[in-house]
Amino acid sequence: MTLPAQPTKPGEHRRIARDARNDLLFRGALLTCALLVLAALLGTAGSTLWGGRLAFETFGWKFLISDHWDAVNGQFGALVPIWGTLMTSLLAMLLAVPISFGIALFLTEVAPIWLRTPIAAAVELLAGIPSIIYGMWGLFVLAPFLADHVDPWVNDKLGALPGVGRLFRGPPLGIGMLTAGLVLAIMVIPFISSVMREVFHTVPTRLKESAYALGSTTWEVVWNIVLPYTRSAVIGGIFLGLGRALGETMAVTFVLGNAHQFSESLLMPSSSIASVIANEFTEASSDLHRSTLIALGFLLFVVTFIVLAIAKLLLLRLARKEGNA
Amino acid sequence: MSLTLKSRLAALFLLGSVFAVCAHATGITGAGSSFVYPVLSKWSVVFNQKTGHQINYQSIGSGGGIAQIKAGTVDFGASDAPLSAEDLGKFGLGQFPVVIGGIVPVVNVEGIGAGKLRLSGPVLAEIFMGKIKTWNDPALAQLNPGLKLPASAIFVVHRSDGSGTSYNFTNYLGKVSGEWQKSIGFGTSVPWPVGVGGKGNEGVSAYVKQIKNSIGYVEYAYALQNKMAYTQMENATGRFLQPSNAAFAAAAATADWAQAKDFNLIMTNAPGASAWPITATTWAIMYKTPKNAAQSKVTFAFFKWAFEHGQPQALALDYVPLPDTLVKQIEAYWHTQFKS
Amino acid sequence: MNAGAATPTQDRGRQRRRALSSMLGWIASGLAFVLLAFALLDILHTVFVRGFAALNLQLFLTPTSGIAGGLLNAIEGSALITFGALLLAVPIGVLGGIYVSEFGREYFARAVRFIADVLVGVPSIVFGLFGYLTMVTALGWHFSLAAGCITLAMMIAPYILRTTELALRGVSGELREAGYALGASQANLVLRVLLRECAPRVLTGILLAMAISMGETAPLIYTVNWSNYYWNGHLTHESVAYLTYVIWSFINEPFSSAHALAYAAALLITLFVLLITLLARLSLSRLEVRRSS
Repeated sequence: MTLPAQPTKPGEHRRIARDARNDLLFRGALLTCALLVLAALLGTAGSTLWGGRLAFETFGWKFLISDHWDAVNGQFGALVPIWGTLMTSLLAMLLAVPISFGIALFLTEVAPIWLRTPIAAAVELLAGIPSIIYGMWGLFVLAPFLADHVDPWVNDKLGALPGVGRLFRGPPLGIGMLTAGLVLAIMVIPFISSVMREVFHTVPTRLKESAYALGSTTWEVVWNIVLPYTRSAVIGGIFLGLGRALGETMAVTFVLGNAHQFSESLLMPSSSIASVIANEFTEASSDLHRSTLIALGFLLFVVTFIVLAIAKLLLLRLARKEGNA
Repeated sequence: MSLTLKSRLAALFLLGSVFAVCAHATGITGAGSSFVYPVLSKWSVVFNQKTGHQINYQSIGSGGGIAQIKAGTVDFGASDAPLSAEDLGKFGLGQFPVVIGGIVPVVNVEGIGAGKLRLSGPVLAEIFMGKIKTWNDPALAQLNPGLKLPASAIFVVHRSDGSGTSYNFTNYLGKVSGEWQKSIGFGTSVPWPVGVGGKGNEGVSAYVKQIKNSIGYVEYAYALQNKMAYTQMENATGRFLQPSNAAFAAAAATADWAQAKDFNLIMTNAPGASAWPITATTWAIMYKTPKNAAQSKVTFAFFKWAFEHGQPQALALDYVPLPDTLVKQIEAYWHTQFKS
Repeated sequence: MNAGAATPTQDRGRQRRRALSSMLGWIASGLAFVLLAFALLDILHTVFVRGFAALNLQLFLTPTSGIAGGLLNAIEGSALITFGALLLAVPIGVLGGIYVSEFGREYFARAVRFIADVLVGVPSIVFGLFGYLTMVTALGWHFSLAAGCITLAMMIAPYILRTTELALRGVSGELREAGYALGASQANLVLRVLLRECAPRVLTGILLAMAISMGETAPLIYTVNWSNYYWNGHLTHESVAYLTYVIWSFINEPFSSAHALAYAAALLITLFVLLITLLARLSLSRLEVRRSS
């Protein structure tokens, strides 16, 4: 734009009036767009709640605690999908968090400088691979490998442990909660590790240098300086990964085994909320069945909402700390 | 700058869309069963080359197909389960079979090749109910005197997605086992008492291939293409049969269509001596008084062409074309029931 | 740490222990990296080997016929859906991002930021259900391009909003003050100065959103479905083809021709997504180069 160097009086008045009008329009446009985002959230929650009302009305609270799923007689309980969703996500987190932590450290502290950017870029690229491709790989490559080499060992060794052993007993199917957890872990690691990498960068060099000056090893610096400083942001990143794991549909459907029976063993098949929707929505013949699947969608929405809200709060706490520093 | 350009583009886009919506729709749309998707889409390609009419078939599942035709948004629906007389009457719909396919049990047991294992309906039902737990169970040994069956546990694999394959398979189990009928029933997805669920035929066959000592069920085409060990089945007359196109056609030919109003008959456990017991069909569903007569006419032309000239395409995809007797019945049904 | 009374030998022992544990920690983290790299390379390897085997010229010249033929209709459809989704999401996302960034102190702006973050994480299948319930059935659009574009736009607009906001917040405050001091209006300042300053970052967000929408399956199955033909110009009532559907559905057909199409589609999507992500990285590094020079 060109501003006249010495504007004439009436011209300036017109310009000010025009600018004021434009600014008003501009702010209006901005506000509309922001409101649209709000509408998207309300629309998603509202439409799934409305679509699932038949199921909520019919089953009430029993919907959440019943494990009986019978499409023939119109009896639906969401316990198994909820359990499957939570267990696979938990398992994925147990595997993904330490590994992501290791990768983030590797990329911020250990790897030679010239290697850091390319590897970080590669990890981020992998976050973009469509999830359906992870599912195909899980079914055709990972599952046979697990069935032949890992499941028997898990069953023999971990299954023999007292107490927790029951979690690991089962036939070597190669599919089930363990496989789904593994695939999910591989999928969320790029996410969690890039968040961690970013927050590790926020640690003031001053702090690290001081610790080194006191004679700490690198590992001690990480453990005693970097991690405490970034704790809440790291947890926030983990929760973001958890949100992704909870709602992952395509990859999980391929490898989870999709059984509606409840089983506590991780080697056994189960179902998750998203996989049940993907499996049954197109062929749901009764209104109640369809409504139940939509109600499951609403549940999934609520669960991820809560998880993400917690993640946000934790990340905000770090931002505040950074602001004070 | 960028904003004004963008808003201009958006305006153009909107304008374009208004014109697009106003333009007249051409072509026939159908929706429903995924079982018939390969053959219907192949037929529509050839039909398009011959006549120029475009048939767009969407495999959204039988439930979706029924919903769409009831809402009158497609020219025909396709369902793996027939509609009841009340439903047809209430919406003024008619239905007729389109093509036939066979469903076969497949096993992964060491040393047992394709077509070796013999199964009967009740034994199959007991396996899928978890009553028969091991391969060397006396009931199985009795059916297979010459085979060496391992003492290992049987893993059951079923479909996890709602499907016409499951519908016909469970319908058959219900017909041969009172207990199955009472405790489980039949439908596109049922409460399976045991086993793991694979997504689609691919999921089931992948699981059966990977899990030793497993048993599942897939469409015949799938067993053939994947070289899986399908089984023999005892049919309604007590004969053991290998699955074959002839056996599926025999089931369609011997099923009592004449007695079934609106072809409302599931042809599992068909009475013919050489009829494969788990044979399935898919029904096309159309309005008896069409909303758009011209579209309806093209749709009938399409199915007439498919029934009379579409056999090669169907056979190439391992479907069985309808036998001539059934085609005659369907054409008679069109003349008496449909206005077009 | 309090090594006050330790004898030299004890001290050396502890030193060794500390060095050892530090070493072990590094070996573990290196191992973690190798583990992930191995799995991810294997995924890429699988897709590339099977996909390249299925590639041929026909794929890019003909539409699918049944479960064989080419993928041109799916490539066209994927491009259309992505383009349509971006057409809706980019203005909303960028303008919304400006709002949150420039009026960020207001309570409502904070709420919008939070909601956008939540929306970015909502499972895509839930959006698919929303699109199905509202546009496909309630509005009667049927499976259609418009329903798919709007559903995808709902997924990626919050993403673009957040990246735009972060990009704008990275612009120094001095630039704003200088602009106002010169008497620029708010609209002029933001659109012509600030946005231009951080354009590479905004572009990166848009490119990543594009990659997301190319790779999505779950929200499209229930809103666009599938078609064997090219797009016929209708926004509603007519479905179009897209690449991820080919993977999702054709892998379930018995024939090797269908499987080949699925693997070819997987390869195309992976290549495309990787390319877009790479472009995004490049546009970012260009910004960094400009900054440092």
